[in-house]
Order: sequence, then C-alpha cells, then structure tokens
Amino acid sequence: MSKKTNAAAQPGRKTQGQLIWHQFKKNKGAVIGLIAFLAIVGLAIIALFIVDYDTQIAGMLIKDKLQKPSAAHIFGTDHLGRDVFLRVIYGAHYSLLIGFLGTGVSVLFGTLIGAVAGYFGGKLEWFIMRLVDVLMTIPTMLMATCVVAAFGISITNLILAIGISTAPHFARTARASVMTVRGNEYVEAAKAIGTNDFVIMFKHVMPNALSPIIVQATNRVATCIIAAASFSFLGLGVPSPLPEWGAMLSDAKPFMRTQPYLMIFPGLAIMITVLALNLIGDGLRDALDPKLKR
Amino acid sequence: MKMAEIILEVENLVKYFKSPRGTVHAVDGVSFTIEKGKTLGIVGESGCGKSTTGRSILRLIEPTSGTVRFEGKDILQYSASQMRRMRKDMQIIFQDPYSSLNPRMTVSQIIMEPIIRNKLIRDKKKREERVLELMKTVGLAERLYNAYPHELDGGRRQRVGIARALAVEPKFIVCDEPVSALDVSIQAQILNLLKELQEKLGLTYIFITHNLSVVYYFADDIAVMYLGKLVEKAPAQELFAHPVHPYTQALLSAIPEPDIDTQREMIMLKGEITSPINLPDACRFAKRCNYCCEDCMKKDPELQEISLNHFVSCFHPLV
Amino acid sequence: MEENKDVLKTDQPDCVLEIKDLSIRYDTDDARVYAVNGIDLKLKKQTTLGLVGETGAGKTTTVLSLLRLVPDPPGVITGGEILVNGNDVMKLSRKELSAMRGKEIAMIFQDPMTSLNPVMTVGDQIAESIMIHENVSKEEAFKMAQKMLETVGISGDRAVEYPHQFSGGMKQRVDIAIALACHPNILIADEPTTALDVTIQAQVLKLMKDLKDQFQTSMIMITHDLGIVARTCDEVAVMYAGRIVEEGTLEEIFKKTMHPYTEGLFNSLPNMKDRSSKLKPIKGLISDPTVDYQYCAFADRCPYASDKCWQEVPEKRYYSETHMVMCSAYDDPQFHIARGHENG
Repeated sequence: MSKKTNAAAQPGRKTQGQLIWHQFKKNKGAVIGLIAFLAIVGLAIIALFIVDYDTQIAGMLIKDKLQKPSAAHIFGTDHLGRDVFLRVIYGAHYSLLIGFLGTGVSVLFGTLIGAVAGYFGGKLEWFIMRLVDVLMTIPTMLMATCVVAAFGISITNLILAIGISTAPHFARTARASVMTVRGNEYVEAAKAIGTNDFVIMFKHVMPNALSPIIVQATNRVATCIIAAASFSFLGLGVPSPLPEWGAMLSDAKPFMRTQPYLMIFPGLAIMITVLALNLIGDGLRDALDPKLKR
Repeated sequence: MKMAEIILEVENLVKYFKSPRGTVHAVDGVSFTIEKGKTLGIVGESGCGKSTTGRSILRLIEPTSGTVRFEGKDILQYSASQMRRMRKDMQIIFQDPYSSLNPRMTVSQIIMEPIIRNKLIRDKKKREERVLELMKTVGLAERLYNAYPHELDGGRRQRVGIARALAVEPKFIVCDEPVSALDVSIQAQILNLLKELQEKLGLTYIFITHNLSVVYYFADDIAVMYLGKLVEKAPAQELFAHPVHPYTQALLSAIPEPDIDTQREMIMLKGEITSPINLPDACRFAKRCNYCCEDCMKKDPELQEISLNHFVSCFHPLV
Repeated sequence: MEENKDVLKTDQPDCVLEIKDLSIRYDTDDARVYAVNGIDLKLKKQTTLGLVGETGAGKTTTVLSLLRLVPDPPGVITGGEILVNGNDVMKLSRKELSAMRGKEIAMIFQDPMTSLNPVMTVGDQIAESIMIHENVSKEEAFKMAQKMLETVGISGDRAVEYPHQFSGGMKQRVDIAIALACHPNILIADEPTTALDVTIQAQVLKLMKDLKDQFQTSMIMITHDLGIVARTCDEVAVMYAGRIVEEGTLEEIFKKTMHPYTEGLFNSLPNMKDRSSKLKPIKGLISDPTVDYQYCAFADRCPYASDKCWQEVPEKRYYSETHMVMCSAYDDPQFHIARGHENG
C-alpha cells in the first residue's frame, strides 16, 4: 500500500569518518590549510631526493655566496653559497619530524596516564594528576636546556624534551574526556555484559574520547614546530649545518640588514606551516564538535 | 496450592554515597520479592533511589549492604568471576537511547558483543545468524545490520538496546525508564514489544519509571519509593484502587488523565522533595505530609503488611 | 458527521492572536527542513489553547515565530501572516518588536535548568524584564520583582539568590514570574512541566491556571501529554508534520475525535480503565521533516488510508464553528473512525 518508503528508514550509509570529513570540507580555511600543509609535506619529501648534501648543506661552493633572489636561486644564496630555497624545503622535514614525533611522544605518554587517571579515579587519579601538575610547572625551555645539558644536542633529545614537557596538557585533556565518556550508558552496558575494565577502556572509552585529543594534538604540532625552531635558534636544537628553519634564522642574524631575504624565507616557512596546521586544527575541532548542528 | 516461584529476593538493600556535604542515603533498606515471569514496577520521583536500586541489584553499583538472592543464591557474596557468569542471567535496558549505544559500533557489533564476551557461540556464521534472529525478534529490519546508531531514531535505538540485553538469554531484566525518552506513539510500540517478549521468553522484569499510567499498564506489582525507602507496595490494581500511603495518594492524584470527564482532585503536597543527605531519624515524608503528627517526626516507620500482599510504611495508613 | 460549510468566520473580534497560512522552512547545509506547512491558528481572549504533537511536528517553530525568534538563517518564513493583538509581527521594526516581547506576549521554555542566567540573581532577572518595558527606577523594579516572586509562591526574600540555589520546580516558577512580570496578555508555555516530577508538575500547572485567571492571560500550552491537555486547556490543535490536522474545543477533540492521528495518540496511551487491553500504537515512524509532502503526511501510518491520500493535500473541513479536520477519508460522508463508535 505504501507508495513512499519512509525516508528516515533509508540512511545514506556514512561512517563517522565520512561524516567528519564532510563537515571538515565545509570550512574553507581548513581546506586551504590542508592543501598548504600537504604541499609543504610534498616539497619536503622531494627535497630529500633532489638536494645535494655537499653543496647545499655543507656549503662547498662559496663562490656563489650572498646572491640576491634570482631565476637561478629563487630565494637567493647564503654566506656559504647554499641555495636558500633548497635549504628551506629540505629543512621542512626537520620541523615536521620534530613537530609530529614530539607531539606523538606527548600524546602517547600523556593520554595514557590521563586516561587511566580519568577511568579509575580514586587514589590512582590523585597521584597521577599531582605528577602531571609538577611536570606542568617546569617551563619547556628549562626542561629542554636540562636535557641538552645532560644528554647533548641532538634531534632525538630535542624530541624527547619537547614531548615530555607537553605531555601534561594531554594528560589533563584525556582525563576530562575519559570522565565524560565514562558517564555514558554504553559503558555501563559493557559492564553489564561482563566486560572487564581494560577492554572497556580501550574498546569503548578511548575511541570515543579521542576527539578533543586529536584537536589538541593538531595544535600541539604547530607549537612543537615553533619550539623546535626556538631551540635551534638558541643553539640547543638541531645542530649546524643542518638547515632547520630556526637554525637558519640564527645563521641569518649577522646579515639581517644587508641580506634580509636570508631571514624572511625561513621565517615565512615557519609561519605558513604553523598557520596551515592551526587552520586544520580549527576545522577538525568544528567537525568533531557534536554540539554544532549539522 | 502451588507456591509461586520466587526468582529475586531483595532484603534490606542499602546504598550510601559519600559527598562533600555528607552521606547521601540513596537507597535505605529496601526489601521485596519478585515471582518468576512477573513484573515489579518501581515508581517514584527524583532522588527516590529507584534507578540506584535497579543498578545495585545488578551490582553495576556496589551496594553498601543487604542481600540480593537471585534464584536462591546471594549474589552480593559472589566473586568477580562468579558475578561475570551471573551477568548472563541478569541484564539491563537503559533509558537514554542516545547514550546507551557506542557511536562507533554498528548495530550488529553492539548486539554481537555480549555473545562474544560470554563465549556463547564460537562459530562465526552461527553468531551472525543469532544476531539476525535477535534483530527480527525485536523488530529491526535486516538491512540495518551495518547501520550506526546515529542513523537510527530513538525507537530503533531502543530496540537495539533490547536486542543486546536479550543476546545472552537472560532470565531477569531491569528496565530503567526504557520508554521515557521516546515519543508517545513509539513508546506504545516498545511497551508492546517488551510485553510480548516477557510472554514468549518467560522473562521477569523490574520496570523503573516515573510515569504512573505506564506502570499501571505494565506491572503486576508496584512499589512506590520516596527518598530511598519503599513507602508502599501492592499489586497494581490494588495500589491504584486503594492507595493508603499519603504520598501514594498524592502521587496518583497528580497524574493528569487524558479524560475530561473524570479528573481526580489533585492533592497538593507542601514544599519540595527534600535532600537525601544526612536524614534525621523520622518519617522522610513527614515534612510534606498533610497528616503528619508527633510520632511521624520521631521514628522512621517500618514496612508492614496491612492486607494480602499490600505493604505500607506509615504510622497512619489511610485505609 | 455533517460538514458545516458556512460557518467559517475569519475575523473574530475577540482574537488576541491570529496565524494565517504560516509556512516556515529551515535551509541547512545538509537538507531543507519543512518545519511548518501552511497553518491557521486563532487564540481567543482568556483561552488556553493546547498545541499537541510529537517531535518534529513543528510546534516549537510555530511559537518561536510569534516572537520572531526563529533563527534566521537558517530559518525562512516562506509565507503567511502572524497577528499579535492585531499587529503584523513581520512588519514591526526592531524597536516595536522589542517592546512587544515581554509586554504583550511572553514565553516559558521547556528546560528550567538552562533558561535562567546562572550569574544573575533571580530578582535581577525578573527586574530586567520590568525595566525594559516599564518606566521605573532600578529599586522599584526590584521591589516589583519581589512581589512577582510572592505571586508565584516563592518568598520575596529569595530574590537575591542565584538560580542554582533553587530546585527544578522553583526555577520553573521563576521562569513564570519573569514571563508574567509585565502582565502580557498572551503567554506561551513550551512543554513547561516535561522536565519536572509529577507532584511538582501538579503544583506548577495549578499555579499557571490561577495566574491565568488572575491576570486574564490567554495561553498557548505546547505539550505531548493529553492528560495535561485535559486538565488545562479549553481548545486543542493537533499538529503532525507541520500541519494542523485537527482542531477544536476540548470536548470535540476528546469526545468527538475525528482525525486518525488524534485517534492514534489516544490509543497509544494506557487505558486506565482496562488494564488488560493491549496498547494500539501507531505503526511506522514519525514523518520525515525533509520531505515537502504534497499529500497527506500521515498516509503511510494511517489505518484508514486509501489511494487518494497520496495524491493531494487533504482539505480543511469544518464540522462546527470550532472543529476542523484535515482528512480525505471524510470525502465519504459515511466514514468514521473507530474511537467514539465502539458501541456501533
């Protein structure tokens, strides 16, 4: 009899992932950010193949030094004759590596202890959160300096230092998120069928608690990139002659007035990368926010 | 005379919570029995402890003290592993269809999980068949097998919750306000389904609700709770025909009936529902009761049987 | 039932509120939602009109439009007229609109938990409304606010307290106090007692009735609970999929029910007189709000549907001065629904 099937019974089958992407796409800024970011990653990968270590890193062709931007060298050359453009795109991978790995360490460490604290509560929670509080009081700069002083200047040490100092923020976010999800009845339902705590935590709670962490992580990558650049600028990070952007800024200091392009391009690179990541982060946050009406 | 088989016996169930302002007497000495295949309705307003009672019986919340005898055995004494095995016999259906399903799992995954957790069916193909069978039993179309909760409306989600509870073939189900969040026309569909399942599978229910007309229709016996205590319990028809506790009378009179000819005179209670924290040793309802006297302020009345199967805890039952 | 064709009166002098052929739609990124589809409504002086329907029927959108509170975007009023005390709401300037809201027409929302500002005292929130519309000093407004609190059964001393210090029922009373502070002649209550306990609901409903009589207010009561309708309303309009499918006096809707959906709503309720009778739910799901039904939206769920129900939007028929039904089954003058005719 029914000539029209009830439309509510025919869902356009979309997984949560597809729904999030669909929502993300609507944010033009986020999409631009994503394109820019993918371009940077693409260039970084290409750089690893085309850049010749001897000329552009170690700097053997001093005869080309300090040339203004031109067709041959679109960003110019520095005081050791190295092509700034090639160094910038080569340097991208340091920022990306440190940014992502540093954040990765943070997320892993912080989320784990935060989730355990949020799920189990009681004395365990108290103990973990006080530890987190203590870690938070140590300024990142100080932490990095200590690590470098103790273990030496290297990329690995930089990643660890940045990672551990930002972990507390994730611990807090994870704890709050887990506490919210824990209150949902489907967690009780899992208990009611006899599921043990660890399975509940990893199968039911964590996947649903990830949204705020993902958003924070995206923002943290940007912060880590800036942190990496800052440390390198101060000589605590990526060692010379590697073309990390912050290090490039530091090298360009003596030439600030005469060859400003030596500072401008690495600076722009940092700015665009961070801006792209922030736009993506904003887009993700809006897309993951269940309260925004779709 | 054949003795009706008692499947659940609750004796002096107590649950206290610690809060910064004092001890919350959420459930304060509740006792009742339920016969196999019957439904006990538990009604009351905010803070009466009905939800806590239901969850305490299932040990989803650990009771502070008391006895809960399921099929003769005190489950409060059970170890964690013994309890896990009990979970197959005792299940729960939740109120909120929006938070009771994991948004990242499909309908089939949600229904299959209890089967997997309890190792009920080892063969994958047979498991899938069982899930489809359960979906059919609760009235979910086959094509929803891979649907996500966000694609379904409240009524369908609730059916998924029911299928999940049935997956372990329980004997006893606590229904915690299963239809309160649904539209009226859908409520009726779910209530009919629950009744059908009870007849077909011989289930025993505890039906928790604040909706008195629904409980009248659905329950065999009704227990009225106020601030953690059972104030009156009787077979449904008896309770509605002869309520003797002043609170029950006020509660029943407050139900707006969809009938313009017969409207009960609303009995107005004084004041608001008081807090279940740090209660004095007196009848909890005394402050709001229109019949309160000195005795009521001195001691908390005990539950007494005043006529066959009709229990009340009051110093002046209004017979 | 005899259709009464010459009873339509469109201009009644004692009408405080009139809606003519109102249609509202929401244009969101994902879909177009047809919230309200051509409704006519009249509210008479000192009457309580019950607006009944389930989720998605369009009740809240309709009343929001009376105060021009429909969010725009994405809401679009695609047609119709709204007359409040004779004034066309759509033509009012911002200033006139502001003057109207609260003074002539006020609203009580569903959730008392979120409709009060947590950082303002209760007295200040009531006084705020008074100061917008009356020309009084701050102190006087506060005194009037205290009096208003007394009127709703809360001690005036509590005017200096904050919302979190009040229980759910009391917060709803505060909402009522704010709404009635300037003595509007039209009050809209959107499911005012749904979030409250039964005994508190009884208190609040009684309060609303007493105040309505005291201030001679006309009221629109939105609810899905037919019991509340029976207790508080004089007239009823039943909404489904953005249309009013039946309207009439309380007596007509309860005793002379005509529309199959209304019948379905009554059948979904437990029968207090006969426990053993099974509930007769309406089959199927609530209508899809993204569909622009060019036919009867209830047809898929209707036990009396016939082919013509899918072909056109049913006509509005009047069976008395007040009783209207939108149902094609009544093309056949012999047709009747089961309810009210169980005895043959």
